[in-house]
Amino acid sequence: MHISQSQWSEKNGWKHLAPTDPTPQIVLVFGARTLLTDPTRFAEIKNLYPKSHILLASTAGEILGNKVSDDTIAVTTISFEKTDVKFAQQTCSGINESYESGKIIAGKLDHKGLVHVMAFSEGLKINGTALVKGILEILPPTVSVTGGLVGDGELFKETVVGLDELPTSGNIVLVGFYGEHLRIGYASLGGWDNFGPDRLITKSKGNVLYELDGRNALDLYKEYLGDKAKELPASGLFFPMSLQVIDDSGKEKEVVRTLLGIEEATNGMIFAGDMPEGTYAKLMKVNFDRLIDGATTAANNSVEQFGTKKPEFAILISCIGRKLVLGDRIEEEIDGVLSIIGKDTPITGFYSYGEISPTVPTERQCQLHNQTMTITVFREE
Amino acid sequence: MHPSLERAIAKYMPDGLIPPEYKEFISVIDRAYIRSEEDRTLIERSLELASKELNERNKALKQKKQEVELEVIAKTKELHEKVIDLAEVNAKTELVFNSMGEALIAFDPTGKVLFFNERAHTMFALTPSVVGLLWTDIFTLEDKNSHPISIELALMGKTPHSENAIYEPLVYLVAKNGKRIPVAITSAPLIVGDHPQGWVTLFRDIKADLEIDQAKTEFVSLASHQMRTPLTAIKGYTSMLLEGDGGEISDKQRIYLAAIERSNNRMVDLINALLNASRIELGVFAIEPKPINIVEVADIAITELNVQIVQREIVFSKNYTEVPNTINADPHLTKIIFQNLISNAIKYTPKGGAVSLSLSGTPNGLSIEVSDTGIGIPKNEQSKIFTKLFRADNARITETEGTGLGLYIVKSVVEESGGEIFFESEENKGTRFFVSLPVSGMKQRKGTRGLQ
Repeated sequence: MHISQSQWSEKNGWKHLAPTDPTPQIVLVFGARTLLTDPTRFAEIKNLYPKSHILLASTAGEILGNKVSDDTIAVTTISFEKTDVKFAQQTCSGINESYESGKIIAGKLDHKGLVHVMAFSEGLKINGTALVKGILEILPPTVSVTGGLVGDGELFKETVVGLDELPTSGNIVLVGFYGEHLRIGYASLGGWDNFGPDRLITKSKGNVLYELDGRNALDLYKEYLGDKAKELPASGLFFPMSLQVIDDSGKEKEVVRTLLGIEEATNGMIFAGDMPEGTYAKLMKVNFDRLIDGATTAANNSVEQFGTKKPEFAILISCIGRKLVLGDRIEEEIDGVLSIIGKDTPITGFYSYGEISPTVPTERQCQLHNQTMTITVFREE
Repeated sequence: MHPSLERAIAKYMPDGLIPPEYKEFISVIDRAYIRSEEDRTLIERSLELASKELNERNKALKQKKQEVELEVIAKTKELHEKVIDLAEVNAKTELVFNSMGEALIAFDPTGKVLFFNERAHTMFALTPSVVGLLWTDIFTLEDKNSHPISIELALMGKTPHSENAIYEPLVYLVAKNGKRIPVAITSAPLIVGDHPQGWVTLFRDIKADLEIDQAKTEFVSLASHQMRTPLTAIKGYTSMLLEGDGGEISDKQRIYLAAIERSNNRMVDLINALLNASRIELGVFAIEPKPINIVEVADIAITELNVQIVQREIVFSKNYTEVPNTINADPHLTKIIFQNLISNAIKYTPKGGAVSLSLSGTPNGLSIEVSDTGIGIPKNEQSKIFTKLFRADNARITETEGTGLGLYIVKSVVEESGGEIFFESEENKGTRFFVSLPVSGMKQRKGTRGLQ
C-alpha cells in the first residue's frame, strides 16, 4: 500500500506530510463543513489529483497522524498494489428513507469479489440503525462493513458528504474493496458505564425520544446537566443512553445511543439511532480511564486478526462524545491506538456522529454504535 | 482564571505575574482546572440525583409490596370462606344422595360409571373401584324368562314423561354377585349447555310392588272364579224361564227376561276376560296343542259372530291360501285369537264397512291377517294398544262396551305360543292385524288353568 497525507489550515495553508502520489485510487478528505463546501479548496484538491476519486466528509474533528484538529482539512491518498476499489453514491431524502437508501446504495455496488465496505453517511437527517440494516440486507453476508455518520463540529446543524464533487447534505457514499490480497481488521469499544434506575421509553418516534416513564425526557437531561443544560445539544454528549434491545434472534443486548440534537417544535431528543417505545434505558456516564483504555483495546482487537504482522494503514472513526469528554486530552486516545499499531503507521479518521462496525472482530454483521472508537486496519499480502 | 491556579501563580511565579511567553500555556492549564472541576461537579450531581431517584423508587416498591401483601391476605381469607361454604354444600348434597331410597348411578356418554350412591352400593354390591368401569361390567338386565335385555335401550332416555315411552317389560337386574332384583328404571340424560354429558339412572327395587301386584291378580282370579258360580245359576234359570220351564210367560215377562239374559251374558264375558287376564298375568295358563283344522276353528269363530255381522251390515270376506290342513295348536287358544281380533274389527267398523280374514301358509308357519275399514287407532295411542285395560279414545267414543283386555290377551297367547303379532292402522281408514304362528305349531306348556 502507498499512503500520502497533507493538511490545510487557515493559518498555514497546505502542508504536505509525505511525497504526494499523483494517481491514487482513493483520496480521503476529512474536514470542517464550512471548509469542505468552499469551492476554492475543492478545486485545489481536484488539481492535485485529477484522475482520482475524491471522497469528502465533514467532521466533528479531523485525525491525521497523532494529531486531532478542528477547522482544518485532512487529506489522505491511498494506492493499493493488488486491491481494487469501487464507489457508490446515494442521496437519502429523509429520515424515513434511511432503510430504503441503504438497500439501494448497497445494490449499486458491484458484489463480485467484494471483501470489505466503508460507509460514509449523512450524520443528522438519517436513521443510522435503519441505514445499516438496509445495507446489510443487500450485501453478501461475507462482506464486512465499517464506517460512520459524518459530523458538524459541535454545531449539529448540517453534515455533508461528497464523491468527486462539492459535498452536500443527505448524501451517502460507499467505498468497496475487492481482491483476495487485502486483509482487514476492525474493532470498536466504548468506555461508558450505566448508572441509576431503569427508565422505560414511553413515547418516541424512530430515533426521536419524547418521554421516559411518562415524563418529558428533555427535562430529565436538563436536571442532570445543571449549568451545562444551556450547552445542549452538545452537552447531551455527557449522558448517552444505554438501551436493552431485543435483536433479530430474540436475544437481549445492550446498545448505546448518542444525543445529536433537539427537535425544536416538540422538545424531542434526536438520537443517532432507534429509540423504540417499550425499551428499558439507562443514563450512562464516562469512565475516564476506560475511555482511553477502550481505544487501546480496540486497537489490539483489530490487529488480533493479523497475528504478528503489523497493519499498513488505519482509519479511526471516533465519537464526538468522546472528544467532548476527553477535551484537551483527546489525543491520548490516538496515542493509545498508535502504541498498538505502530507509531509510524499512517492513520487518518474523524470524529463522527455515529460509528459503523461489527461488535466482535469475528462478527461480520455490523451495527451502528455510539460513543465508541472504531478502528479499521488495512494490510495487503 | 480558576482560583486554585490564581493562588498557585501568586505563590510560585516571581511577583505573581505570568511571563508573556507562558500566557498561552497558563490558559491551557486554566482550562484544564476549570474543566476538571466541571467534570467533578457533573459526576457529583449525577450521583446525588441518581441516588435520590433510586431511593424514591425503593420507597414506592416497599409500599407496593405492603399493599400487595394486604391484598393477598384479604383474598386468602375470602377463598377460605368460600372453601368452607362449598364443603358445607357438598356435605349436604352427599347426605341427600346417600339417604335416597333409590339406587342412583351416573354414567358418562360412553357408559363408564362416574359416581353412585349408598343405595346403589348395597343394591348391586358396588365398590369404589367400579368408578370408571363400563355399565356392562357391573350388571346385566334380563326379562322374567332370563332373556337378556339391551342395557342401552333400557337406560337411554326412557323416562315416565317421555312421549314415546314403550311399555317396559318386567326388567330384572342381575348384579355381578349374582343377585337378581326386579327393578323400575328411570334414566335421564345429563345435559351441560346443549350437550348430553352422560346419564343419571335411578333403579327402584320393585320386588314388593310385584308381590302386591301378584296378590291383586290372584284376588281378581279368585273373585272372578267365584263370581262365575252365581252367574251360571242366573243364566241357567233365566234360560229355563225363557223356554217356558217355569210356566208360560207373558210378552212383557219375555222382554224383561231377555234383557236379564243379555246383561248376564255380558257379565260372564267380562268375568271370563278378567279371569283370562289374571291367569295370563300369573303365568298359569296351559297351552295344549294338538293337530287341528285351523280353517274349521276360524269358521266357527266367524259363525258365532254372525249376529253382529248382520246387525252392522258388515261385508265379511275370507281368503284362505295354501293353508295347511292341520296344524299343531291349542284349539281353545286359537279360537280366542280369532274371536278377539274379528270381534274388534266388527265392533269398530261403521255400518256398511268391510272386514276380512286371510289365512295363508308360509314357510315359517301360518300367517293370519284380520283387516277392517274401521275407525283405526290414532298414532299417538298405538304404542299402548296391547296394554291391559287400555282403550283408545276414539274406541271409547264409538263403542262404550269393551273390556280393554282383548288385545292384551291375544298378544300374550300369541307370544307365549312362540308367535308374533303386529298391526298397521290409520285413523278413520282402517286397521290390519297380522299374526304369525310358528311352523312347529304351538308349544305345549303345562299350566294349572286353561283360558276361558
